[in-house]
Amino acid sequence: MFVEHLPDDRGQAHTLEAFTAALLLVTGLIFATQATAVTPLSASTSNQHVENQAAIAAQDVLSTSEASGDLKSALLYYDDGFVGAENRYYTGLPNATHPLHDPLREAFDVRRIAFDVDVYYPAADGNGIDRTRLIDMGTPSDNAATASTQVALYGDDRFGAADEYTLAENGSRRYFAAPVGGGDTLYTVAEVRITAWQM
Amino acid sequence: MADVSVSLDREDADAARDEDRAQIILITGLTLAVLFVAVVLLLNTVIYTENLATRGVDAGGAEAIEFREGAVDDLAGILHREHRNSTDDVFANFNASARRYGRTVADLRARDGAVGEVRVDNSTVVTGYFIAQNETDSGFRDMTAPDGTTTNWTVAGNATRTRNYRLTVDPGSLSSSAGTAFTVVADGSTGGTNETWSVALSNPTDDNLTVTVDNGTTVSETFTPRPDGNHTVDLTGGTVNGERFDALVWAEGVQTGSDRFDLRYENGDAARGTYHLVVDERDDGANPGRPSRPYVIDAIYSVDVEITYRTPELEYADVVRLAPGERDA
Repeated sequence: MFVEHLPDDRGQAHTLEAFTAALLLVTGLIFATQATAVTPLSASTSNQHVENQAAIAAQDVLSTSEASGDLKSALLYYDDGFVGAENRYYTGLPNATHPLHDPLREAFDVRRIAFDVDVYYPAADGNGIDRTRLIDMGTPSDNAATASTQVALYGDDRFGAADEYTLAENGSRRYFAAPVGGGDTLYTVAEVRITAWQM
Repeated sequence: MADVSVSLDREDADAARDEDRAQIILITGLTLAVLFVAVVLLLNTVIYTENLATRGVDAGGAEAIEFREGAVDDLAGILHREHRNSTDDVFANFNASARRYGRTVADLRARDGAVGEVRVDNSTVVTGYFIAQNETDSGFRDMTAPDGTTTNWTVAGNATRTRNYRLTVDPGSLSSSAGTAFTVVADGSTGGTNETWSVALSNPTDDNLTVTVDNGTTVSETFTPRPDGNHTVDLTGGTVNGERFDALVWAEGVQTGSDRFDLRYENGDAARGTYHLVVDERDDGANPGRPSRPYVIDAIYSVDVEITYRTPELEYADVVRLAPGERDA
């Protein structure tokens, strides 16, 4: 028995083949990890489930506070800027006496979710819609969720820090929204919009 | 020759070995190809599933329902205020306010790319009367007749339906015994179902209120006051200070929707407070046009409201009968 050593000129080809195979495997792995990173459910602040949950929480806050009357009280807590706000609107969670303090704290603040609350209403000149900020925590991310609801304001609704004014008498001078005109019963209809996003 | 044959053999063996390797390389190549296709399909499925899992299937039906509920609530608010504030034509004022409301919400909805229409159908108005006693600058008044002295009197005679009936009373003004207490009676004994239903309000201790309902059998329950010290009884809603009282079913057995009954107050001097209600008919008691105690005005008992909500994905239309605060509402 003897081991026959054949003339071998394939070493270079084998090495090349091995490198190609290794490269192929590594490329495959990179491709796979990259592919999973872009799915909507990857753990991140832009996760679709986070967005859905924020949207539902915002809608629930609006529905419950509208039913209890807190939402309307919050809109009427206005005397040349929302009462207790430093700069006409709140830049964070309103203080504990504010009607929306508890629902907003429970739904967003304790979960570290940022939110803006804006109020839209017909403009004074009758053309288009104006906006007033109620709470502004900054610019929402691309993955922010929104929810909105309508609140009718009547001429006999009282506003101010201690409900000292009525909309029909003092609204056009002291309240942020102008009356829609033609009678004192309906003052205006405002749309409240919550924009919530994961910080 | 032997050398040649040997070299031939060797070449044969090499050729055979190369053939084997070609097959293996082919199989490996195919396997890898299949594997990659499988991985791609798998990843694609994962991405697709995740997309489906987070996609809402709703075409916006919830928004349409919410729009309807909001419009009905807001119009009910407008209607109640027109009844309270109008001195002249309630119908024209309500129509004007409802039209303005419809225009305003349509503008707001248009911003979201939806068409929202609210239209009051005037041909469906069921007329009635709004009867109310308000609070004066000097406080509550007692529940006596327009003349200010008669204690047992008819508020509305020959009514068939009542809605949005609320009473607010000061517990300090109430009688302590149920026998002489202020009582609201729905009396169907003349031309109606021949039944009588009543509710008596008395003040047993402290600032509490005892509500005694007599619908053949007597049921009573005691309630603590609201933060401002008064009590509000929603007779058609069946609540006291917002708390449900199961026995309080307005005019049970008396109001059937077609049978007539008289709405009377007894011992009106034994309570001070406010009340308001809407009845569909009346031909006795305080006359319309009275300015106060009670204030009576022609009113809208019920009216149909047509609500349309359209988005590119959804078209929703409904006709809602607006009669806020009916017994079974």
